[in-house]
Amino acid sequence: MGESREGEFRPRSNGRIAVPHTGLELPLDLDLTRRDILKIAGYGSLAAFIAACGGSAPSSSSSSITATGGKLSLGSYQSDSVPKKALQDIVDAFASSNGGTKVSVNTVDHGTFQNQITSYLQGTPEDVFTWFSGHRMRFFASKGLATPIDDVWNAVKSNYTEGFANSVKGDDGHVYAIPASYYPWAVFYRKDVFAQHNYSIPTNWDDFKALCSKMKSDGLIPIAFADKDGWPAMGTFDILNLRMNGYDFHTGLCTGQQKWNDSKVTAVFKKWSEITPYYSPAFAGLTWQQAADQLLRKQAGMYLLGLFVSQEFLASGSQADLAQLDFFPFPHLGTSYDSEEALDAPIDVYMVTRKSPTLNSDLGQAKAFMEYLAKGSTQTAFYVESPGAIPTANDADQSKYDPLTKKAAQIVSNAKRITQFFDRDSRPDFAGPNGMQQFLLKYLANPSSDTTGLQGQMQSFWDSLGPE
Amino acid sequence: MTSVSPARKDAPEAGELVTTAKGRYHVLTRYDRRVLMVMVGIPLLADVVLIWWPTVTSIYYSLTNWDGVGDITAQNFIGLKNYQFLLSGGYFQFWPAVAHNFIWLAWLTFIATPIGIFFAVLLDRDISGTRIYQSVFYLPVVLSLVVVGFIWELQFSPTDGFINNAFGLVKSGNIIDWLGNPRINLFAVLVAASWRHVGYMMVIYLAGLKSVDPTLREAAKVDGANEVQIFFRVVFPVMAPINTVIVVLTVIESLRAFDLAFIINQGKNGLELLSILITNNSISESTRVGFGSAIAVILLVISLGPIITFLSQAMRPSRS
Amino acid sequence: MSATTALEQKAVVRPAVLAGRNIRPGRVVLHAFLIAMCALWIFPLFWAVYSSLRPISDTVTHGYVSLPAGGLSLENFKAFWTEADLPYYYANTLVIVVPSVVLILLLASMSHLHAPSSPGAST
Repeated sequence: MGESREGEFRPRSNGRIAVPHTGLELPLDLDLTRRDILKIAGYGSLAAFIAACGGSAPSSSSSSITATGGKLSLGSYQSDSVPKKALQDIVDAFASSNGGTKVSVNTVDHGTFQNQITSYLQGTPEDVFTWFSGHRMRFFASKGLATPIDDVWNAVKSNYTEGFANSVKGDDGHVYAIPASYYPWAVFYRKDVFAQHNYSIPTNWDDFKALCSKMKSDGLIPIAFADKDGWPAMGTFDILNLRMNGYDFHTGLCTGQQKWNDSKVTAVFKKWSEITPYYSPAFAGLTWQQAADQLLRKQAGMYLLGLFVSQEFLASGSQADLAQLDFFPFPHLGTSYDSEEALDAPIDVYMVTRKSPTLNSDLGQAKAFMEYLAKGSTQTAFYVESPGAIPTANDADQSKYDPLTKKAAQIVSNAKRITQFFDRDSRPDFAGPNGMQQFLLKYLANPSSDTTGLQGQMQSFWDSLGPE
Repeated sequence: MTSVSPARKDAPEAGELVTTAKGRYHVLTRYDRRVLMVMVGIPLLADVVLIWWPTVTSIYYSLTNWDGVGDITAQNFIGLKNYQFLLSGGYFQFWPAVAHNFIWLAWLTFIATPIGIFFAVLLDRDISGTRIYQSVFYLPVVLSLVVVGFIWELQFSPTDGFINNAFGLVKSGNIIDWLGNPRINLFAVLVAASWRHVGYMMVIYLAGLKSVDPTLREAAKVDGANEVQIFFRVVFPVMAPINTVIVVLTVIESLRAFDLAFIINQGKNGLELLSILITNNSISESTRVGFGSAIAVILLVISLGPIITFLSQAMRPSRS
Repeated sequence: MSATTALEQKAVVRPAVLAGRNIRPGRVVLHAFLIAMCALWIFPLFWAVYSSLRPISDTVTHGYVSLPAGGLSLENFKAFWTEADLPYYYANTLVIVVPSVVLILLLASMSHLHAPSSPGAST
């Protein structure tokens, strides 16, 4: 319709062009028709769109990658009341320090968040979300569901050790996450129980077994164990496999490069059966909280779990009990891999989504938030309110740590190899209730039997899973 | 008749005579027919869009190995491999899950539903306090199944539950692992399910019993029948439509069973069920949508048996 | 006809029944059985309520099957009210329940409009 009136918009005598329908006047002395202006606008926006799709192009000011003010949305799995409040306080502090950014936090129950993560990230997620390091992080990065944040990492990487730096890289070498906190897995015990019975900390396997049998004769449950939920048993499998077969074999096993019917895995199961007689009775029906209660009530002697076991001691309301909690690293097994001092130390991270509908406008604020989270002061503030996981930044104020946390930070920094825990290191369809959880329960129902059949089942299950 | 112009489309003589089952007559004009089509068409449309379309796409997904991320490409298409894998026992949890669903059905049919019917028969009399009894038995039905799961975990937990502690099993060291022993945990969950199912069946059966003609009972009593005979010979046959409803609901509940087993331990180690396998494969962190859809299609096929039975009974012309 | 004789019989029988206060042993057994069943039925619920009235520090230290050390408290309910975001979840529940009930009734009654001969129809 406009073609027939092409000559309509001639430049006015004052040399300005009136852009139709907007009331703007361009100070241009060009012989532009309406079609020309629309063409320019069209190509210009296309160019801007392509540039925006490039990803790492700064979206706000040209000098910095972050932006103040505006808004930001955060998807969080911190559904327990204590960490939830701690996160909200962090968010409020960030908002006031970033020019009043309006941050909306969407908290989802921890387990539900994990289960729905795939549909969440593909739908309309928030700008930033809480997640875990490891295979699970790399999986979503390689599927294009997370935004790389190399520019943010360049600004903060001096604040992290190499171990953490390795934990946030995707398969393509780009950085996709900021580590926020972590916690080690170790063998926990009560100092007063050990003092009362005159136990000493075992450093090798034989001492460990001797201690177990001594505890049994003293009427204690030597090793508290609970596996109704399936994942706690993976902690024991991980540490035994790491100590006996080394970090490389373990990570290869998690990702399918090593086979489950390897004789090395058989050796792990055999070794494990040496301590299963010392486990809590009816452990397949207990939750980790109930096993922690056994430790708390002095019914059990030791418990291999993550640092979060202190939450159950906290819930008892008794500071005296909490003060008695202590741990030692899993004993050496006398192999060459003992020197790796490898252990599970899962790292919780924050990531930036890709499909958030508001990400284009909020990208600067998202990156500002990620930088804020990388600061030691932020992480310490979270820790003070919600202890149970250790800050990752180098400049976190360690004087605020309680003795248990200090010791935990020490044990992780001594480790030359860190893994993330089996269900974060391996593919979720193998590690879930369908797969590894069920296999370990089957094994634990009859630990001293021949595991060849079970291992064959595990390998054929792995083989049946499609490409990732 | 001649006062109405025959040109009017919705005039009585422009409609058709329809007989209903009771032998009455009813005039169905074109207007009526149009209204009926709209009124039936809307739920039908909702049904097709919300139930049948996803079902067809599920069948389509079951022929792929799609993982829920991105688009389905030609290489995702693997034909009947998913079904081969399931039915041949390659997926080691499949046949146990089928078995557990049938155990669930057997338990509900032979234990829970008869208890519900029994309570209904007991409470159908004019005894004082019948309302209180009914309320107590019906109370679990109004609770969400997740709540029921938690309540019974408090009972069944091996070291902290009421049952093991009250009967001294914890003290004596003879703990029964109600939740962790794969041979018995399904039955523990079935007890929890029955707690709820009994009240549900009781209420439905009571409603049916109220509609039984009291004269039939009186006549039977006059003829000298005792209570048991009255129930089985007189009341039970008359309640045929209610019995159908009871059977259908029992079958639905057993095929649908999910919440309790999932709450206890996410459906593993003896608590596998078809619905949980579908969930763990399709809508959990491991999104094997193609594979999960195959399990769902198998569940659909299993469900078709009772569905077709019920529909053929329901659509049989009722005897006058 | 048999109905009227039955009713007459009832009318004859009833005054006698009321006069005798109807304490048959059968009735006693019935009530006893029903009361026992009700107690069994309501016990799990009662136990859950009892556990909810005990603070977490009590149950963690002494186990769930124990007498309350330090008495019962409403601390769990308070925490639930203040920390569990109750208004948000309640609003969500209403958003799901109300429209679904309305829609189900509407659609079901609409689809049943022209189905005069179905089982269970009593008129």
